Amino acid sequence: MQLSYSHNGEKITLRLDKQADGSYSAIINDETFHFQATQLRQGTWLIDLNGQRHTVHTAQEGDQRYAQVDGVQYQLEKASRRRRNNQSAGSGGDLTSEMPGQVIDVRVAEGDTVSSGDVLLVLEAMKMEIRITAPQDGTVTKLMVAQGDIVERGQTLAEVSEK
Amino acid sequence: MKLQKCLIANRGEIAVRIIQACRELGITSVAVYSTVDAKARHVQLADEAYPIGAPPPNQSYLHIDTLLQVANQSGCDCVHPGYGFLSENADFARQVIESGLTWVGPAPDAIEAMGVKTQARALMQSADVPVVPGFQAENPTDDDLLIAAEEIGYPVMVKAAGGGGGKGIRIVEQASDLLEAVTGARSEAQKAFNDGRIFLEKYIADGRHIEIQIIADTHGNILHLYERECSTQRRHQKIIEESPSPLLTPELRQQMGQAAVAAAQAVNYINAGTVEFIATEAGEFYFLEMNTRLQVEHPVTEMVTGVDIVKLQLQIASGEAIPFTQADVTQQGHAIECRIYAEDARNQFLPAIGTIRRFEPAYTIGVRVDSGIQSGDAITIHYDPMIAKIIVHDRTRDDAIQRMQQTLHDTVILGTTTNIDFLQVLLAHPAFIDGQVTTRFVDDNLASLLPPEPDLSPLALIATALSESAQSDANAPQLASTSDGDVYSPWNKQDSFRMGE
Repeated sequence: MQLSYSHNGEKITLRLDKQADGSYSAIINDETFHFQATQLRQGTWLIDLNGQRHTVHTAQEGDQRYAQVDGVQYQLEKASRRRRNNQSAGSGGDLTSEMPGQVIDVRVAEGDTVSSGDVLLVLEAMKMEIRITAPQDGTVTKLMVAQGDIVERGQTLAEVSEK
Repeated sequence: MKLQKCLIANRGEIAVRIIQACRELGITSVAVYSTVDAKARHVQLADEAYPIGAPPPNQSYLHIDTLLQVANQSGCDCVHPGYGFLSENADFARQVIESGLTWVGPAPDAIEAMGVKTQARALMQSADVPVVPGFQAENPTDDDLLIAAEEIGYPVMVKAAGGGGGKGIRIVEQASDLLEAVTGARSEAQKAFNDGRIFLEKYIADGRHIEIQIIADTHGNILHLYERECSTQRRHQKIIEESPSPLLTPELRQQMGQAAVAAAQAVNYINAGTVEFIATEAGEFYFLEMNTRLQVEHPVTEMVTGVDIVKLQLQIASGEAIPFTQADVTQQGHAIECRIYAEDARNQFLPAIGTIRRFEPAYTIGVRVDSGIQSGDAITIHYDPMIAKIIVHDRTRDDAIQRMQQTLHDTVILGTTTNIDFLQVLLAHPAFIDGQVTTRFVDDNLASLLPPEPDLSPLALIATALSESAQSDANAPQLASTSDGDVYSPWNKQDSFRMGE
């Protein structure tokens, strides 16, 4: 199983394989790890790596992945086939919120023709304004939020189809 | 007259705490909720629950008419306000009483007397409770303030007369900055308390925040439940509280306890309250203010004294006498509370709103967790971003610190950024371990207290991938091209199954 994530903007690839003896191997970037793993409950794993046992907790929301190892929390983002939102130009798809926040302005309506870079929505999150812009020239096919809505991380806000 | 049914005019962990006390006393609990709290823990636990409006507090938890309507229509005979919201609103207390219900708290007059800080200072002076040297006057001129500040001696604090909670406070180092600070404090106080009046107080630079828990009944019994030290603060907001205080000698403890009782008696105080003092290494202490309600950090006192303060509040409101004397109350061992906030220490402590995907407190010996949150709940922009209070109890202070460190380490909170790593740094700091933290310690040393960004652990990636695989296992199609027994395992698939591309 091959997976890609990003952590603080850095891309990480991981290949996970189960061995015939029930143990696992993981290749993270170019480094290989061999370990035993037991699922204690959903999202929680007991991992025996180099003779040391660790209980690791995981959770997910949208493309966000959370893990807690030895009392320390980490946040990863799963590389997605889908278009990410603001500032990212590219081909069609939906626009998602990168942070939880509130929709403070909606500048388009369904059916509107937009050009790449046009501001579609403005979110306020962490006291910052985040502009959600059109990734390409096209038509707003769906608008899933209204002004004042509270949105969660990873929530789809709108869809812009290619011309 | 024993109380039968209690409206809890609050939300979150304190509503849950009050419901618990009601249950133990056989009192029916009635919760209220704004639309965003419909599935909140306090709503699920209460015997009855009623919607009261939109998420902004002034449309729900602060809406007096709606709360009174719910209390009366649901047949409540008392109202517990918790802390925050309407807990120190004398008007609300008065209306509760006028509509024939019992207010679980002090008389409205006592709330009012202590609510205006300048009035409280004057009252305390007449009751021989030491107050911080200061200056107060109705409508002082700029010159009055400048002369008074000079007499007090810089640095001075400009404080709001109409309320506390760290709002409307300015510290002024020199005369040239005074008037600007006064203007700023007035406008902040006007916004926060609808009362722009300010007063001056000597700023005690290396002070310690030490407060005494008071409890008084309607039979003339009044006693204290010893101190809590809350010097670990950031911008006047408490982060860690403990009891006993590492600063106090037995003599000082006794003097402060007596002063707190005198302060409460000066306003004919009934029910639970807290008298806050600022104390110095030299053993001086001064009255700051009295909080006429249950306090966030009350569990610390409950752990060391064994007294259930919330239950006692309801019993006192029922007209019962306090079932023990001052001599019966002792401090056993040491308790520490940490407030777990959804906030990002590395990003100016901004609230980190979002959904708590997993919240699994680490319950073990000597650990108490007060929380209104469960896995799947959201931290919203509407309310305080506190996730939980973790309280530990152990034989000595050192033991309690170690127990807290282990508990924070083992607490699972995923889905939002929390201050747990910041708390761990604070608890490990030599100043905290030595019991030397003053109220300005955190603000003065913030840069060195921020937890370093940890390097990504390969275990985090491995476990994430394992969870991903377990999930795709569960979602695997019925027909998998496998050669051995486990048809649902993606590990056995012949194709190059890829995710996330």
